[in-house]
Amino acid sequence: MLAALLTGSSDLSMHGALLALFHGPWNPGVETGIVWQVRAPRVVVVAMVGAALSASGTAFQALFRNPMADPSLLGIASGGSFAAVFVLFHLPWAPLWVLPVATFLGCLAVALLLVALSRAGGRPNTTTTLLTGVILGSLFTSCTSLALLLSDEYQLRQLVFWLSGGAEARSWTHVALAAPPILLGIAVLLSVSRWLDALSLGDDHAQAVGVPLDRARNVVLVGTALAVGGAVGVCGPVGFVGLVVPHLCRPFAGSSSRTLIPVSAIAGAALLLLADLLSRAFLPAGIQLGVLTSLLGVPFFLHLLVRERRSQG
Amino acid sequence: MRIEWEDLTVSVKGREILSRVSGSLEGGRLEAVIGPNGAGKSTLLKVLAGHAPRAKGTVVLDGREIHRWEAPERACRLAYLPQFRPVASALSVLDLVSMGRLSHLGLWRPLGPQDRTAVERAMERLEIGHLARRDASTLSGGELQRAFLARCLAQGSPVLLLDEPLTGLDIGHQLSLLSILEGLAHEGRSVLWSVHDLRLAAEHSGEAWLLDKGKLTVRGPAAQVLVSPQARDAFGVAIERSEAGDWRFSKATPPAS
Repeated sequence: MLAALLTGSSDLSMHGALLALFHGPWNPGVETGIVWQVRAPRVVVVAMVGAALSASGTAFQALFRNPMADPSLLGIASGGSFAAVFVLFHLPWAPLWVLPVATFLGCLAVALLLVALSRAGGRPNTTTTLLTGVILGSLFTSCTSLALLLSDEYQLRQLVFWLSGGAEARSWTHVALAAPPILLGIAVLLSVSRWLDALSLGDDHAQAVGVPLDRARNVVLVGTALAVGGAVGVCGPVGFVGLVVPHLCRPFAGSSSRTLIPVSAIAGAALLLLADLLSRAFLPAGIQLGVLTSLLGVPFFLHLLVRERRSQG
Repeated sequence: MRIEWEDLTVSVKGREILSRVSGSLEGGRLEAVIGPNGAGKSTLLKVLAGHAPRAKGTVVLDGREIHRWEAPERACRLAYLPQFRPVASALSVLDLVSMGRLSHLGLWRPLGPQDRTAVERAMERLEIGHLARRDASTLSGGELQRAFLARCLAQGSPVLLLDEPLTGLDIGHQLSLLSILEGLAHEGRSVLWSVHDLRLAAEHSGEAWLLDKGKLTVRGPAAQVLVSPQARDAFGVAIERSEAGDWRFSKATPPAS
């Protein structure tokens, strides 16, 4: 975090940045302005988004009993993105707070649709759930593309920039908008971690130890939609974090959601900050965070697929 | 604690899996559900556990209709071991067994001394104490089975419904599980278990329920149920008991028609 505060496109000496940091935000001066008004909110936003995506990824992997479940992969984030594009496109005059509300509703709608569809016609299984999610995801991605096709040059640039996921030019206003849904969402998921553990053994076992199935599922979906909705609303879609981070944490944090959710949240925040830092330090300006995480996440996902097949066969 | 059920009927795609099954189980009883494959044993236990909301008929647990209990209240009264044991989850064995205490603890309260005792005792009884820290997904079939059984015991419920608890256990662990079940009945709990090994059912259960094609055909002392003509029809096997008490099973010759 410190490194992220100290690095940036304007040329500040490390000494100057540190001084500005410790003098607090009320101290006048250019350094203070850069560190506290430009970099700090960005760092906070990135950390929150990383935590939100990782915590909800952990919850989804338990809920769907599948190591490859992830709110981005299963189309939840696409629903949020579509809602955001809709707002940016049709209601450009809407106040800033409309965006996170819309992304939350978009995420929640897809989550509920996913559960309803995967349960239709009997017991949901892993394959149908994943497929349903991926298909819903591509449906909403197509809707988003349609919106892009219909937009004019100026809007197009804006939308594409937003859709590639990033934390450029985020202010304290953005922090204030994203923090409540994200923190609330993570808190909700954390509070039902015992349910998640039981659900990870399957519906029958969860019910046998006294988990109210429908309520548990709905609470997890709402929590996830809050966290992911908040994240998408402030950062655009940032893929693969929720998929990768829980897997990185499981070997040393165990599979119990009670420990895995907080550990993943912290690790996700750190990882995304690192990615953001890398993209700022080494990549040409304008390469967005979401592009980088996808570039790194796809190979990891493939590795996971191969390993899964090996362990089965 | 008493559980009773009346006129249970379950149909799936027009086929009756269970038809009009009634009965009850009192505290202190250990009773076996037997029957050929596809007779409806698992379905019966599932319905009794309240996991099949679309089943017709009523199940009354401790004086209240099974679906009217809140999930945790029900779990405090009834422990159910489903037949399907998932292996994918990488929880530790201790976490898995402790899950039996969820209904007592709710979402937030940490394990108290009483809960710890229940968990430790259950693991001890099933001889899995040494596996406590192991990742459950690395266990053998029999070890996993014992971990799930320990979860049921840790739950401390007065009614236990166990769907094929002997599956995957070696003969030594089968016998020790049976003595655990007898011990539970002795403590005053009601245990209903489904089983394929008819010898073990006859020797260890007080009574047996014979299910055939979704219908309850005989109920009575296990040994008598086994030698009944209904059992012969259900299994297609002639079942005899020698004077020395040994069981003999032989493929029945179909009745001349």
